[in-house]
Amino acid sequence: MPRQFSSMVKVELLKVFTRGSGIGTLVVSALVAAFVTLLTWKVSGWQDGMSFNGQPVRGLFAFDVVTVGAWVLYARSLVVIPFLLLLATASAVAGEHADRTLRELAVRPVPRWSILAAKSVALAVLSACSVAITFTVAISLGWVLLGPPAIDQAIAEGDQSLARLALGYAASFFSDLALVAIGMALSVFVRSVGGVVVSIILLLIADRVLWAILALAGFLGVEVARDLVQWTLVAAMGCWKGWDGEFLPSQFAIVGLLTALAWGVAGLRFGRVDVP
Amino acid sequence: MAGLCRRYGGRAAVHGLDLRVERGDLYGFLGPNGAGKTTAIRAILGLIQRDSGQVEVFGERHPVRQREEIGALVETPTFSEWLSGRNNLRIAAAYAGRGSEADIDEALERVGLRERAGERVGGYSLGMKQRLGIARALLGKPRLLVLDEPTNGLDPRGMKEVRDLLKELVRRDRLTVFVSSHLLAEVEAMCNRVGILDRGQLKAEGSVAELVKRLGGATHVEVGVATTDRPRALGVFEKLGGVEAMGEGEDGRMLLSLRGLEPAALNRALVEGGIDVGALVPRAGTLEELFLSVTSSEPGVA
Ligand SMILES: Nc1ncnc2c1ncn2[C@@H]1O[C@H](COP(=O)(O)OP(=O)(O)O)[C@@H](O)[C@H]1O
Ligand SMILES: [Mg+2]
Repeated sequence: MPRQFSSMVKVELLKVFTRGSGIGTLVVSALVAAFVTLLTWKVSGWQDGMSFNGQPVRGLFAFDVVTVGAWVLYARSLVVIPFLLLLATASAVAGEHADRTLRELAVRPVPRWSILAAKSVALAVLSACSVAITFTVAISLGWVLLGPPAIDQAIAEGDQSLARLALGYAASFFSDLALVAIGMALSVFVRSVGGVVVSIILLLIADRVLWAILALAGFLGVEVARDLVQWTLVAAMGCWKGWDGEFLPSQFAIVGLLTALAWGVAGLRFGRVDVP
Repeated sequence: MAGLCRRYGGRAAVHGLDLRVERGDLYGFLGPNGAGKTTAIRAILGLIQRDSGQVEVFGERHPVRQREEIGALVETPTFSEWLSGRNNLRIAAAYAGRGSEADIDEALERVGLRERAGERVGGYSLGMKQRLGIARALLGKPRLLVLDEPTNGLDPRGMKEVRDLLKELVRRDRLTVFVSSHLLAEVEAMCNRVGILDRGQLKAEGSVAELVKRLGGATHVEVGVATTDRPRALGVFEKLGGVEAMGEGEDGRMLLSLRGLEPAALNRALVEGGIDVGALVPRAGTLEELFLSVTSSEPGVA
């Protein structure tokens, strides 16, 4: 690790947090949380006036702060925030390659891989901020609008507590890291932001097709397919979904392995590419 | 005196280039456009893979440690355009592992950008970006500057300022400067040593004085004869021997290199051949002639 690594991270943070993609990630993180929370609150309001078979519907669905937080967690993992995070990654690597600012870093006395490492740390901080903002907005707004967690339900179902939910958010940070690592590997090979976006779409389509094939094979009784299906990308990146049941260590191991693999490939390849 | 030595050989755009820059040199890397100067500089800096060959900087062979000593500017310098000039220098200083705020101020001062350092680089003119690129190369007090056409995009005053700055860096700050250029006059005006690159090969290398001397004591003259007389004149030159046509001189005169032949004898031979000599201008051997004679002329030009 070069001795100036922490200063490198600092200036990468400056770039990541002042680019449109970085600011967009943070703003959308807050917006998604606010939007889903408000929507839940609205729906919960309709419930008040409704009745079903003469019984008031109120209390049939418990919309408390934890439910809201959970829905926001799902919403954050849908297309928009991962896309912005990927865009931030592609801008930091492929974008700088294309506009040739990467060259100005490559002439400095640091090994090539450490440039990617500094960018990765900065992007990880961006993801952590995104997670923290989403969680904070969802929980505080949810608490104000829908009240504190429904205690009895928390006792009844045990796992649906605020603390478990927070763990789910923390786990979604791991999915983000995998995305950053994959974005970085693609950047090193494709070297243009548009190219990275197109290739991630193709990769995700291929991944889902593979998943479908394996799932079908598993359903038809092929044992190996049942084991392999968890190794597909999107399935592995859903590691945070265990928040209300059981986190699967194997799933985290798979995400970690895929992340490490992507980083390794990116680092090795970047050591050999021309940065003109 | 073997302070600094580097070799580079390989890659199609640059074949088997061997050159050596001494500590304290202001080395001019001269070559026409497309000669391979930028390619060679990228290879020296480790930006592109080398097919073969090694680079040694102050005895150091490790590419990362080599760059500790180098400040570089390659082609048109690039910046994070949405950030200020100062922030761009901060990025460079962070990666260089040296260069305090005071150093950044000093570098900005040297290129005359101190006042406008707070503005977005996106709003800078080409010349300002070029100067900011030079400031960035100076950051962290490198011992060797590798500059690729640093006067690109500058007006004549800016070009002179850069030349003076480089001379001062060598004289006062004891830096070694390796600077590429396609402008002969520029190299002649500031460099003590020159390497001439053409089509990826080093065609001549040495001090400016040495290179001029290498013209082998030949005398250079420009001869003005009517265009219609030219074929006959060439016949006369052939009979005389020791005359080499080197191309076009000023005002369409023929530029000739004479070996073991006095200009007066040439004049007499031409007149005896029935050719009117409109002008016969002796010329001191200059770097330009060497440059023209070692670099390939385009097809169609004599
Ligand atoms: N990335 C590249 N791919 C293919 N050819 C290149 C590339 N870069 C440079 N060249 C070729 O190498 C030669 C030297 O180019 P360059 O080093 O830029 O010359 P100079 O800097 O002396 O003007 C040119 O013929 C150019 O077309
Ligand atoms: Mg060039």
